[in-house]
Amino acid sequence: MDRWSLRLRVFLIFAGLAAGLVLLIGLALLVAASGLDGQAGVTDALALAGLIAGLGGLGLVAGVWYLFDTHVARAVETLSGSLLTGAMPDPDEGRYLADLAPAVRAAAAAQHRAEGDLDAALAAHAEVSTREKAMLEDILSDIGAGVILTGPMGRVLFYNAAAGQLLPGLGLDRDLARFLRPGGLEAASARLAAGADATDVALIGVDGARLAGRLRRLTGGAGGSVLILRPARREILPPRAPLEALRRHAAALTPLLDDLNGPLPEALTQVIRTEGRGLAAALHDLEAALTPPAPRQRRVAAEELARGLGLPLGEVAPLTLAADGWQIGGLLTGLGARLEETGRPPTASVLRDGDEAQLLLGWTGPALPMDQLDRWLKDAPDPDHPELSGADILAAHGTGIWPEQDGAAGRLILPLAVSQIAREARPAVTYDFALASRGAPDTRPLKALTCVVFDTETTGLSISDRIVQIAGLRIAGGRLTGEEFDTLVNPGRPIPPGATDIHGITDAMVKDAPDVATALRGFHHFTEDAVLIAHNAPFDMGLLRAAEAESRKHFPNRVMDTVLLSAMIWGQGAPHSLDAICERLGITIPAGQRHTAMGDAQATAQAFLKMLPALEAKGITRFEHVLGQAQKYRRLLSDANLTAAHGAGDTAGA
Amino acid sequence: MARIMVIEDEDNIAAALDFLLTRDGHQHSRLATGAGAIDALRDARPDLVLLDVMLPEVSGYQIVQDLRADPDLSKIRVLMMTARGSVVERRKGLMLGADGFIAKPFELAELRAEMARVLAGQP
Repeated sequence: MDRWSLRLRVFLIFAGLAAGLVLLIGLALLVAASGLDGQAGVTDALALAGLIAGLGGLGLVAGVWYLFDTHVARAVETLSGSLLTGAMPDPDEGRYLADLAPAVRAAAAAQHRAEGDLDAALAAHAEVSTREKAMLEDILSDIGAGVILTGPMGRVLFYNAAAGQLLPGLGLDRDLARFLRPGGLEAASARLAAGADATDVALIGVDGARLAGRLRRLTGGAGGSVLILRPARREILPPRAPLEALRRHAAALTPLLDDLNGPLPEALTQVIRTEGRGLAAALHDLEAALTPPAPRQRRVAAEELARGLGLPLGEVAPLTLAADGWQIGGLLTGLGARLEETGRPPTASVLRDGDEAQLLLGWTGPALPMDQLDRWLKDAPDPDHPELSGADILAAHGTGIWPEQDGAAGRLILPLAVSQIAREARPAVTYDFALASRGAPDTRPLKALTCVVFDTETTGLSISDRIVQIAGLRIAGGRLTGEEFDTLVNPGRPIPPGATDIHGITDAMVKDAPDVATALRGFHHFTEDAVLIAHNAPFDMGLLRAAEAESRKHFPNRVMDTVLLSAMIWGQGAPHSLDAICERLGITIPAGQRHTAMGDAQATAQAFLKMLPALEAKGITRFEHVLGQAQKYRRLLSDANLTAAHGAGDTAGA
Repeated sequence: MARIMVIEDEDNIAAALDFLLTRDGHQHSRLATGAGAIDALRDARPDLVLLDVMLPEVSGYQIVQDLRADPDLSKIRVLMMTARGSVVERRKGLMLGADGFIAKPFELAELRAEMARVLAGQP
């Protein structure tokens, strides 16, 4: 009875009262009738009086109950609800309850004020931490070294763009050791375990890149470590092969040169000719060996470089240059000052020209003689570094500078390489520190799983068709990490016009794309350890498995299908196409993105993230629950996990 | 054949060019420094200049820049020669107005082909 509501209990009390009243009137009438002993007229009058008393009493009880229910019981329930939720009650509510209603309103107002203050304090705090976070992100994305933070289990919690460049394929929640040849990291970890706070490391990436850096134990919290990485400095070795060749050819020529008085026999002429050519070739090789390439690891945003010159700016293309910002910036500032002094006030601009950028200092005025420019380049732009002349800086960047004159318009042109890192356009830093507290990937709840949502575009809809595009994006800790995989694939056969009509991918577009084996090896690397999610997953998983013989890569990942997840939420009767799900969830796919692998993968990823709360409300919080529920919908669609397990068996058997 | 001026400060290279150009029947003269080169060219009006980049006093780059800035002399064809053979040096020379660019050491056949191309006015 404790669970019954107040109004129900009040109703039962009044019902009992009415029943008791009727019973008492009935009993009184019975007693009176037996005393009168059958006097007909009196008995009828008694019955009439009893009926009036009974109906009147019932009406009275009902009336009082109604008033009590309306003004007391319901009002008390409403006010107590207001107290629980903090909502402000209507002004008329509980007018007959003396001070109770004003007291509840006062309490609600106080709670509102407190909540408002709390919100304001939280917002102020959030603003500070957002600003600090942005500042830290800037710092960490700017340092040229790779920075990787790992949790206590060696899984990646944070990395910056430079780390992603040094260890291709690096991703959140991946095991760092997978990206390095065994040995170096274990030895360094052992040194930390033995008590060192930090240790220098020499590591080799799985692709053979030599790396050097420092591993430091993270103090406090659950443990983990931070790894700072740089490409290992190459030992500067003399270019021995071209030097030896030079010596060999000179050795053959020199004794002959002393005896060139008379006519030479044909054989000797031949020797001189061959050795002379060898000399020229060796010289060419020597020069190639000694010429530095553009500095790959150093990079500077064109905007940042241009703004730092302190000159009026023209067009500045949004580029990242493979250059040392301090050196090139200093050189251009110095040249700008010289131009100004000589009556050529310059404007700086940065233009894109194919794979390279052109830094320009333009002016209106007299032409700049080449020899004057060469004299300026003999000076060091920075007096604190007199050893580094402008010409040295240009040589170190593998480039040069020259003037051009068109009538009164003159300009200096300095070509520079565009940084590969920027062209890949990966986010500056990628992180999710909460991963550290989430335990082993297999035991996590659904919203904490690390997933790759992917989609393929194909030559057709049958399982014998071929992939022409595959794209995926990673989700960790219930949000997109910004890590993406996107490639066209050469299917090795013509794409039917009907398929091109849908996804817009033509034979010409895939002509130079990687074949399916290469593309899937990359995709396999990207998806290792992650749960795969696709819309109508059996189709896409079928394609991955059909290509296993070519790619030699098996995908043993756990799989979720957004078609099945949608059916679990909205029932089998609702439509479960990607468009229908997106419409229900208010997701818009940008025009032109639908039926591209990346566009559909993005829509599927958003749909998955928006469906998570609804799944949780239905008690589906872990991958096992999804598997269990999927059995129910087997008739709707085959489950990709079952076919995947079947596929795994086949491969293991083979 | 063609009238050629060699502007080259290295005596040995100049002597070798003298021998080769004479044997091929070209009419040619030589300057050993960049100073006064423009005046000499205005007097001589050769069809082609074989122009070294690293010259004392005035560099080959400066000479080609001055040559191209002078409408009176701009028809003279220029084949630059340099001991610095990098791609950007070549690009710089061509941007300043040279018609051809050849890295030392070069073979006779290479020099002949490049001279023929430049004299024919082919790009």
